[in-house]
Amino acid sequence: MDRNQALDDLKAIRQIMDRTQREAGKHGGWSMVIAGVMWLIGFTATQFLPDGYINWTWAVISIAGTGAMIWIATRSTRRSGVRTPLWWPIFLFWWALAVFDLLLVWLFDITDGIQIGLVILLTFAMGYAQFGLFYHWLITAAGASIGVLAISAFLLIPSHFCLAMAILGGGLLIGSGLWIACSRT
Amino acid sequence: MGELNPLIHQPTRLRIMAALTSLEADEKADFVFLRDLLELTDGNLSVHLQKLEEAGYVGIEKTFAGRRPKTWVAITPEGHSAFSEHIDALEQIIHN
Repeated sequence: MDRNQALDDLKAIRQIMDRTQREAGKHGGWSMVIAGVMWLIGFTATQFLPDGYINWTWAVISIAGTGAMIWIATRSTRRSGVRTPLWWPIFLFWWALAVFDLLLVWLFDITDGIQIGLVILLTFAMGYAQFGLFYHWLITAAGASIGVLAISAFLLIPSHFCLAMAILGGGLLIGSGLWIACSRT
Repeated sequence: MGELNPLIHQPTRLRIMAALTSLEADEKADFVFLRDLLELTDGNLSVHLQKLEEAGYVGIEKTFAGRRPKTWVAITPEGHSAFSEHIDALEQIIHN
């Protein structure tokens, strides 16, 4: 075998590996879309609704969103071409982050809604950034971008922080998720 | 210098091994998923999987999803090792 043939073989190997990982990871895209819709609704509500309604809104969205993610994961498991034992660890990973945020807010007695939002956003941005290292570069990019957006909005437009995160953060998750889920290899 | 693996060197089997290697440990690929991913026919994929299974490079598990038969394919540790050695041999050709 000559050098060019070896190069062609390695290129073919890399292409197939990338394509396989993208196809196997498509279900993650729909979970990102659901998360994006949750943020879009939740942060918009936080921006405009009276204080008394905000917690209830997030509670309803969280329950509905979690249910939708479980349904997606179950459906994907049945219909996906890849059987993985990782579904529940992945699910628990994200819930562990949520519990971590609750603990942070409680332990440090954070009562400002915008600060709570920033803590949650930065935690999940870091989660996405790390998660994407194992699954899809776009998830990492989305996580890093959300982190930058959250910090920028917090510092530059604090009075419109929630609206910015609803549109930009939610939109980024929905867009990235749709790209991952629907891209043809 | 490492040797190219003649079984894995065949283009279709090379692509099959590349696809299976990229999955996480304990993950298995469905036969139909592999077929569509690699744009092969049922017969073509079956023949190559059989050869790889006989060599101990892949494991094949047949189950049922309801009433529908499903075939799951996963690379074995021996397959991982053989594929890694084959890649090393390719890289040696490139660098020499």
